[in-house]
Amino acid sequence: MELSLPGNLFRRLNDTGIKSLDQNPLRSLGIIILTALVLVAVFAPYLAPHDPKQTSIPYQSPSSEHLLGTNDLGQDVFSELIYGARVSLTIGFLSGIISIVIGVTVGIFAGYFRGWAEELLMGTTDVFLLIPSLPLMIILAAYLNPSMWNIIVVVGLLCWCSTARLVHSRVLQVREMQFIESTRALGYSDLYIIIRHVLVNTKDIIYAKFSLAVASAMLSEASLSFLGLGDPLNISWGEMIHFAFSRGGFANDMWWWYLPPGLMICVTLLAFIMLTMEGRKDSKILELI
Amino acid sequence: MSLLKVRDLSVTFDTLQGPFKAIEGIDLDMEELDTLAIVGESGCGKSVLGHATMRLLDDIAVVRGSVIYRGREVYAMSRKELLEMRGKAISLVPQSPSASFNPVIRIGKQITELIEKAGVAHGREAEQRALTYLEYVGFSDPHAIFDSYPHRMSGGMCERALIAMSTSTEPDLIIADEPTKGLDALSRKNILDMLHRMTAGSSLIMITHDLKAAAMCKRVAVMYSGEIVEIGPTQVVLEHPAHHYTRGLIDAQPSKGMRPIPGRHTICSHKSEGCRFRGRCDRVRSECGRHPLLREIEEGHMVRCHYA
Amino acid sequence: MLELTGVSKIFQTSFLRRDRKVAVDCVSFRLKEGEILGLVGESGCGKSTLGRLAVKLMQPSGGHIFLDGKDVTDLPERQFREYRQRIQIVFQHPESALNPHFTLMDSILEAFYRLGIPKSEYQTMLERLANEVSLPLDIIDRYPNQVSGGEIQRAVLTRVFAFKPRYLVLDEPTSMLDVSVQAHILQLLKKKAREGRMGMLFISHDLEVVRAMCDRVMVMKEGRIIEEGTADTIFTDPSTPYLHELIANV
Repeated sequence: MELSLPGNLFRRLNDTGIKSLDQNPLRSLGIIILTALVLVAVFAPYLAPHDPKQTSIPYQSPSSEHLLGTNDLGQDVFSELIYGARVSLTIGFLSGIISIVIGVTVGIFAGYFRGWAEELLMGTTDVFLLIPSLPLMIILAAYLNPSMWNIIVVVGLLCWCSTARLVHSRVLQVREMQFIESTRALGYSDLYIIIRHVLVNTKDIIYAKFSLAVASAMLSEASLSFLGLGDPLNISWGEMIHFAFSRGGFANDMWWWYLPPGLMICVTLLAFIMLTMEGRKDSKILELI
Repeated sequence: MSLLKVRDLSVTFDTLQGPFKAIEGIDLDMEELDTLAIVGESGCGKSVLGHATMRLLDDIAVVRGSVIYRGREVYAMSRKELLEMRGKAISLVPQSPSASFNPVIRIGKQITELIEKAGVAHGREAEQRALTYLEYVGFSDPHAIFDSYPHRMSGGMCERALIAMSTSTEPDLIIADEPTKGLDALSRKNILDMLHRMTAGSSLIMITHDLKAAAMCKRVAVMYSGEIVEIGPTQVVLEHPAHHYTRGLIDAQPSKGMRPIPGRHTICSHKSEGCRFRGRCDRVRSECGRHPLLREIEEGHMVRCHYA
Repeated sequence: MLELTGVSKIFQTSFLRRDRKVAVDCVSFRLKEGEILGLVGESGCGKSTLGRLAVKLMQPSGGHIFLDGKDVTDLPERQFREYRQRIQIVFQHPESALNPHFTLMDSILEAFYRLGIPKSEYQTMLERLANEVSLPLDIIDRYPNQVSGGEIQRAVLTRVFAFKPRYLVLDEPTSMLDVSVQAHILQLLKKKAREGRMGMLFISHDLEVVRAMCDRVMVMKEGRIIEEGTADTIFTDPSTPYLHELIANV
């Protein structure tokens, strides 16, 4: 038994992680689509044929000059669509992150400490869940100035509840596991245990929920923008549909104006959902032996 | 006609590290009312053997060899014939009793369901039969257990209910997979006594790591690293073990000296030449480089060792 | 010496109807360094609860706990933390004993880090402790689901011994392990108790194991200690009918 230690001390990656990507075609597809969208957003100035704020002849049909025609101000719809990726994705991500951070914090502290902390935190969660979120968002957005940051905060502050619930129930399971009891017996502090041990055992839920939270945030933002509460200086896909609707695009059957942004929203949401898909499970042979 | 004949059975799993042969070259014979204990440590393949006998591994493993039940080849049966056989002719009492029940259905309903599916009885009669068997396994209030959910019952109680379920169809052969694992000493004895009683009319294969549980059966087979290394009448094998692994298992018991077997039990993924116990045996000699076959050293007692 | 006097644990099962379950009823015992004290009883008799009370993973409802002469019963967690080094616990189920996202090495080195051992000494200390418990070094960079139960328990022991505890509570540490692995681990525990002058509270339902391991034995039933004595007298001359029955059933 007198063997010497292997070279590296702290190995972080589990070897099977990379292999599982091949076995998971749906998730791979989702990753490809999202990567493409992010690249589009980042390289928008190079990809867009025109400056989306530059006006010209309005209500044009698609042509070689304007691939998707022009809107009511004569701005190129295609360029608007590309730049719109920046706005929609940014709002989606940031709101998603805010809602995840709040949700995970509430869920973990409620689940780990239990007692009155749990009552208070989960009670608050229940209250927020009772309030219909979209109407509340509408009220808040209407009350505040219509800026991108306000939208991000409003959406983020109202979407954390389901995350909190999921994380809370997982933490209730995890804290009963013997290795958590062991770390307490070893004298590790509660905060350390939460960060180092509990969090890592909830990460699968958090990853899945993050994906869905971003998707849901994007949809909420699109809804708010559609209703006219979006930031007029940063045009998102939802806002494009809003202008198409209110400036005669629907009435005049200008599908090239309202359909593409709608499709982009759908595709993005699908891609996020595909990220949460599981692949083929390994056979449980070791349980049998 | 013998009840069960297993010939040259081997089971290979496809894992991330490549193909893994869990059991190899297994030969077994079971007669009517025969009781056999399959003893071995974790990883030796005894559970795999139990499951392969009932052809439960079709989806996850490649099985070679043959299992003949009452003259019919199990691995050639149609799906309909298989379903006919399982639960009715051959019954499995799986490991982890609490996890083997559906947590959201009451115990009574699950037992009745099996009785009806096996065609033994229906409706009221099936319920009555379930209650009768719950009483047989020692519950003082069978009605309460009938209406209970699995999570309200202790490990020992679940094991009893599981045995009631498996014996309610009066099968020819019962395969009990680790019936006493995780139970405390008192429960263990009760379960074994009860199992002995309940299986009086059937044949029994008991898969266990506990040598004392094996003492209940007429014959015992010791498995190591996917092979049977010794098989014979229980009394003979446990008192005069021929294979060094069997000797090691007996000596490791706390009441017999608590002497550990040297070396590590590694699950072999590739079958190397020679005796698999070579690395841990203290009477290794030149011949051990050649793989030993099971040979008979006395009436009904076989061992896989060149020097026994 | 670890001493418990009149320790009880009462669980309130229902808030309004005041249903109480007395898991541990006024238990007292002393554990000296270097001694192995056995605690036997059926499932549900309260022995696991008593084990957890002894390491203050649960707060006693009554009674006192003295650790090397100091009354630590009402000490708040923050202050008790420094005493935790002296008294450790090992649990029964290997499959949930370690964080499944950490390799065995990660779990052990984490303890070194918390103990303030300098990084330069990690390797020597790890090799020494692993060799003591016969934990093979070629598997320590694996995850718990990739190794056997015996190897996990050895890793747990490696971690626990790094703390150099004076007292160790073992709650059925080998009941889920194969008989040969069990023999190995029990032998090394026995050796460690003698050489390391470690007092061990060995909780088990298996009378044979307790008989082979322990110097003194306590028998617990429904929360109370009903019999106590040296290992020899208890098994050869049991005084209570309950113990008589337990022995007869082995």
